[in-house]
Amino acid sequence: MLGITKSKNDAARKADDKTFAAPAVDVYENDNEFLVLADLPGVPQDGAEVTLERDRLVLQAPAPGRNYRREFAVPPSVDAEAVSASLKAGVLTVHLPKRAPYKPRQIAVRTA
Amino acid sequence: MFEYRSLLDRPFTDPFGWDDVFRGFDRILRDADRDIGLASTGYAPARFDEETDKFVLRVEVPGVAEKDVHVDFHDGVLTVSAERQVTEPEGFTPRRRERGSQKFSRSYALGERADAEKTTAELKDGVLAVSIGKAAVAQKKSIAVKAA
Repeated sequence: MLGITKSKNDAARKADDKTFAAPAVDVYENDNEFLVLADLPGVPQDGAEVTLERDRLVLQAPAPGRNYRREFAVPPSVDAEAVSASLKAGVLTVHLPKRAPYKPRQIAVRTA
Repeated sequence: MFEYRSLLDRPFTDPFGWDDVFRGFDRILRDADRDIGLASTGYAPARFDEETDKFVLRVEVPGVAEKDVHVDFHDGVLTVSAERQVTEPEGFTPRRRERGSQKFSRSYALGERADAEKTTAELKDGVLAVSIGKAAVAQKKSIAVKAA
């Protein structure tokens, strides 16, 4: 009993040592894609990591004095293969295109 | 831990302790203010450090262009201002908005401690770093004690 309590406290202390920061994020959507913009000041152009696993999008980047991290659930309409990201002036831009069946399609109505 | 939320979840209610992060920054700002802060408008996380031969001010201004950042030094007062205009990309519907437009200005009274000639400013990766050389009067100098 005592042992369990102790290890729990240790884990909590360890978590406190590392400063995580959740970056401010904007999310936009149109017919073709989702667009995620995240503020990551202090992160160099090649310093951010964007991963998409199943339906989880994880943005993370180490910066002086803190680690940025944020997770999102991604709708099934997103085409994982087509996701792209770029980082400029401390702002991360992630494009999450939608798969074809989820994009609106114009059906021509023919006169019989 | 970080809560697991959907891209589409609204509204945003600080599940990440974002407020705590800001409180931390505020504390840094207040500490700096007690010492040298003069006036400020708006808000941007900033940090003021004193090093051996210079002062370094770092301000987080992600997405701000060089032309929208101004650094002045006048009569011993350093003034830093920046403006960020966040515009919605055309044809998109906003699902979550946390990144605000910002306009901020802060002044620091450094007096004779700073050397305007040795001041440089650099904008990199969304962080503005202003390095202010210390004047000779502000630099620590050890005086050798001679035995008489």
